[in-house]
Amino acid sequence: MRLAELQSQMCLALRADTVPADLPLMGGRDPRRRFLIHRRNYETSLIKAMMQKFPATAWLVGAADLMEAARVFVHASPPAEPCISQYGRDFPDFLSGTSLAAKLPYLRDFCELEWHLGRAAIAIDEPPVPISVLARFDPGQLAGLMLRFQSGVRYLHAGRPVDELMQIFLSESAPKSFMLTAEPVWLEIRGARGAFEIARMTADEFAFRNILARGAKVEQAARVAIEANASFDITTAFSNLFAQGLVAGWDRQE
Amino acid sequence: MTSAQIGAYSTGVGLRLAHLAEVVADRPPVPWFEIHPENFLGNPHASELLDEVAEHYPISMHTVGVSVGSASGIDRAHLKRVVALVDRVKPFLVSGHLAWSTHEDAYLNDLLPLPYDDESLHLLSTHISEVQDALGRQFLIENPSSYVAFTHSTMSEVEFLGELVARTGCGLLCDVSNIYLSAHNVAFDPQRYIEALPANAIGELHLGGFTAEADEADAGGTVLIDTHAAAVCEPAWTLYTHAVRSFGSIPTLIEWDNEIPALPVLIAEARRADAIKTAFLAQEERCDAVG
Ligand SMILES: [Fe+2]
Repeated sequence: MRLAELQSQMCLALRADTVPADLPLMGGRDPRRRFLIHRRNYETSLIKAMMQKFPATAWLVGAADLMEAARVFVHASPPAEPCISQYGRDFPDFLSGTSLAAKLPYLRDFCELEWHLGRAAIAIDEPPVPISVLARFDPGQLAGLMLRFQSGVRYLHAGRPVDELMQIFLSESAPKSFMLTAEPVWLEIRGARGAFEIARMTADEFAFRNILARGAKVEQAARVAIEANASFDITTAFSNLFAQGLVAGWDRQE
Repeated sequence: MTSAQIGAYSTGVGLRLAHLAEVVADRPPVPWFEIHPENFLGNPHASELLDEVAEHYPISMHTVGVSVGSASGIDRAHLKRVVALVDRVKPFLVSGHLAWSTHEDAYLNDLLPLPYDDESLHLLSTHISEVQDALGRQFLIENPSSYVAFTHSTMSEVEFLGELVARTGCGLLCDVSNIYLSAHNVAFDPQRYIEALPANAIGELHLGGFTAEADEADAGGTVLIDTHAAAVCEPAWTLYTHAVRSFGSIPTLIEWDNEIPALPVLIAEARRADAIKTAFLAQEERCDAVG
């Protein structure tokens, strides 16, 4: 058997339940069973990575149920690259399609929030760009400016106040009962070097910052914010970005 | 810093994220650390702390993601990131595995076995040469921990490694525990394996713990699993003594990746390896004096 064919078959065997009978294996009394050790290594190492990444989600749904969901996930969506810290971005979406989400309609948002917290906590802050940099531009040029936010700044719009639920998990003080109202929240997650914080925002400011953080020009962000709130104060919102140290760099297209 | 400058007596410890902050804050008495670049490349905070560690300790870099055995090709984007980290951290050794772990666009997070035949030899020689060209330095290849072998292999693992050294000029990372484990699982003589390795190519030794399990297919039999979740077992220490006699005093690493204990436990394991090397060198000196 050629190596490419052999590795294709082994790859399939790792991700499926059975090892093909014609894999040319030897070792021990039953080499195909032995090969399943690799399948178990693959599965358990990635499940462990997911459980370490999503302890709050495990707390919410129960560790056994989350492990089972992670087991299905790691076979359906293997990592695309060897840095496992990047793996799991699609897990919140995956969970939203499982039976766990039928019981907890906010599960996807909660898991997504946890993903962002994990990413924010391993970020590092760069020296913030001071607002004085704007003096270089004519007022007309500011509209075409694109800002690069600190890498530990993330935005999440959730249909329910999942941030309150996360605070309960983080404070390790679960109340006897907790009612999660169906009120949407707009969250800014900010972290660096092991620490993070979650702040609530208004819908218009969220729209402004969220689209800027994704690389939109200032004029586009202003338009989106004004659509959300006709009396949105662009000048204050813009200077707040700098005052709060959110901006790590900038670029301008003519 | 070269492997020789690291010192014949020194045994390093695998630096895992669990100990990173402690190492930066306390600077424990460890002669050098080995790191997996994959733990740092996607983690800017850890990467920043690694720069601090590298200011105070020699580093050996051991990649688990540059899959030189993949028939679908090595992950060149990942190799580029590893090369950038090597340029920054300036490790005294860079190593990888005689294995494959990527298939097309999937990373399989395990070190998967290869048949030892001409096709594999050609593929790995090409890939190792490409890695060495990208690094601008020698790459060390580690012998795997095996649970299975392939019926169509035409050479032994040790012959295969020797051929890779001859064809590419790569070095070898001899994992003594892997030899013990593989010898048990796929039945060969571990001492002969060590004696057949090209001694001049050995740049680093590994020692790690494994876990014995009942072999489901063989009542009363066991299979050894390379968990890196336990102390080095006595038979592996005995084999290590044999390796030191065969290769001389080579920088050695204690690997412990799961159920990671407190750093002093790892340091105690490292000191035991140092004691074996020291005893060997003292014996050599006595022989020289007599001779
Ligand atoms: Fe090893």
